[in-house]
Amino acid sequence: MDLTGAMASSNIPVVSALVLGLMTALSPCTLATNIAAPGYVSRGVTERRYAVMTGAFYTLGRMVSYSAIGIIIVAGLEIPGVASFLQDFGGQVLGPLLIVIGVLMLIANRIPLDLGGGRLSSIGAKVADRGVLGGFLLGALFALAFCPYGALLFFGVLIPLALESAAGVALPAVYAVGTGLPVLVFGILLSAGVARVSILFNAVTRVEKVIRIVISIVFIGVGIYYVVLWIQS
Amino acid sequence: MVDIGLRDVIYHASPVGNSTGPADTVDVVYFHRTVRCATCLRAEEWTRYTVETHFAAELSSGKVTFQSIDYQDKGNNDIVERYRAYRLQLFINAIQDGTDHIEEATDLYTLLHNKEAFVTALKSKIDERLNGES
Repeated sequence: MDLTGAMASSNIPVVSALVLGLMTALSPCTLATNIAAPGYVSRGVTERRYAVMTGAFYTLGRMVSYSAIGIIIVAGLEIPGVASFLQDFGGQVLGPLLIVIGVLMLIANRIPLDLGGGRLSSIGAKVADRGVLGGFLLGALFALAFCPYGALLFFGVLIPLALESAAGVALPAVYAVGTGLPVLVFGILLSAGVARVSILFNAVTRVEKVIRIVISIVFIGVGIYYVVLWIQS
Repeated sequence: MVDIGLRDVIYHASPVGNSTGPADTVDVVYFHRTVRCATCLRAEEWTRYTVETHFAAELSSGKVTFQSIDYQDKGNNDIVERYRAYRLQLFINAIQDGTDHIEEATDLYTLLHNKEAFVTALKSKIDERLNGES
């Protein structure tokens, strides 16, 4: 058996949970959210610490969501119902929400205040600027958008493991760390790279503005992707 | 504090009684959503490959069958109920004297990035049911 498979089915549940999280994060079907999240994490060009904080809170958000699902399941809610709600969450809730957030962030850059866009634009600016809180909420929301493969690993492998293991309660949170880790790493690398380039060309402010526009467009794109997938079904 | 009901939902298709003798037929059933994802397609492809490559004779004699089912399609309600499927799932059903012995192949789920390991594991599972070793 290969290493990843062996680790995922290892006798140490915490290791298995972490590897299952990584498997989920690195699978093609979670790609959409994994494109949006590192971009968001890497926004703060001028402050390196900012990316680390946002990424950490993004992971924390995921921990809260997965743990909550674990608690709901142990509380006795029907798993098939929970699973199908979570698999539709991406299209029904997250997709439209990402489109709205993306548009608001875009408006914050574009519409001059005196054109009546003041209110909308200030909401957009808030969404874009609340890095740490935004990271947390993004993590919590993205975790709820289960893709079919994620649902398979979570409900089919992780939850049975958690129910049998002494460390059971902690396993969804460990799984969350696995799903957040790639985002954290890529977000920080992206941020460091962009910071270096923008400082090199002495264009930090301009670069930050461009990044914000790019992230807005990515959010809208990912949102449309989710909605289209949902409509197709 | 986990009651039997909860476990039953999770291992919701665990065998009614462990089959001891060889199965009359082994049904391999794969459930998927209407909209497919890359890994979902791969799981089906590798399962089909395993059955068609390693059980070609049994497949043509009907001793081994393979089905891929859209569990969201209302037309499939009967088989969805029979397996109590609700997400991406792979089941192996060893039928003896007309009785289902359904087991979800959960240990294959972590092998979906390694075709060789997946095929080997699935093949030995089907072999076990055919020979009555489980």
